[in-house]
Amino acid sequence: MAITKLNSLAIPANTVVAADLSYPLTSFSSTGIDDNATSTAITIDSSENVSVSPSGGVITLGQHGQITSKQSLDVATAGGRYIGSSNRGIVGQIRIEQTATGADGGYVEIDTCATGSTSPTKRLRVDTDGLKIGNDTAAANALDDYEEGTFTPTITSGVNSISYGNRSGHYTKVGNLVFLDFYIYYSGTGSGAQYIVSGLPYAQKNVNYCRGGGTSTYQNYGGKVVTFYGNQGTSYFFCYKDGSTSFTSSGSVGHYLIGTFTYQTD
Amino acid sequence: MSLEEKTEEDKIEVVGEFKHVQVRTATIILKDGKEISRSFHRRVIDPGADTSSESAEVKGICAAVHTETVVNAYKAHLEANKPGE
Repeated sequence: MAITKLNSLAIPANTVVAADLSYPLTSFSSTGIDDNATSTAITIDSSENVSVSPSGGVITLGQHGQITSKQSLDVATAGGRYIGSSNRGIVGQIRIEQTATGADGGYVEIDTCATGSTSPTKRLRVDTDGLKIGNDTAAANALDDYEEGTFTPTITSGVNSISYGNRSGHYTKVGNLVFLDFYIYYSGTGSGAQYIVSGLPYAQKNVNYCRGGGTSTYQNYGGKVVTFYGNQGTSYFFCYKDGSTSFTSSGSVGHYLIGTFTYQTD
Repeated sequence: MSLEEKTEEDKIEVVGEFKHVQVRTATIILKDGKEISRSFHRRVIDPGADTSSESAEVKGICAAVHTETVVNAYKAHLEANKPGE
């Protein structure tokens, strides 16, 4: 073999000079991930536990990166946990686990430790029912919806030939509770019939004696607060004055009816 | 830069014993084709209500669920739940 290039020790390249090795390689070090690596950002111990300790404290995944935690056993706790700890022990954890043994579906739970404790306590759980607070397991108590928007309040009884100067309605729905804030300025001729306001954004819950309610916050009929009384299983409410007296008007009217109304929906 | 506004009935629900049809209309603002805003307006269509101004989809749903039986049941319900009762 012709020698074409010598290294600093004058040994030809690709030449083995001596071999006296035994396993493990106690005098060997590398910058890779192994027992003898000098780079310790990622280490694997003899129990195959992987420790990741980047000097900057940040682990970055590439684009579309994901971490999958998988427990091959089909048990209720299958899934994974992220546990936050200090040198004193656990401070909290996030559990992403299977809902039940042998079932698809899962939940996310956030647990934290009380002051002086290293035993995590459930604070929040998100599952198919919605968001549950504390130890609550009742589906009915889960927060499953929040929405804001507008609706068009419409007087469908009490005024003939009605025309609207301004009218607007805003709603906020939290769970099954709907809060309305509305403004109506209109002209027309009072029919003498009880006022009914329609156009609610959600149908009212159809449960006996579930009525909802509200009051006017401004009106110019003179002296009387108008109260609003819902009707189960409908999308409107009735207007009253003095408790149980139907709110009516007669003659030409050009009035404000402004107020709030709160009710339950399904 | 182009701004575009469009509306769509993004949620149509049939709820309850009387098959109220809840319609949510979304107003969507697009900037260069990308959505930057979405707001909602809602209304409820009661059994037997006039649907002539509704979209074809809503008309079709109302026609399917607001049967004569449902409309009559709703009328009876209103009669039975007059104010103060």
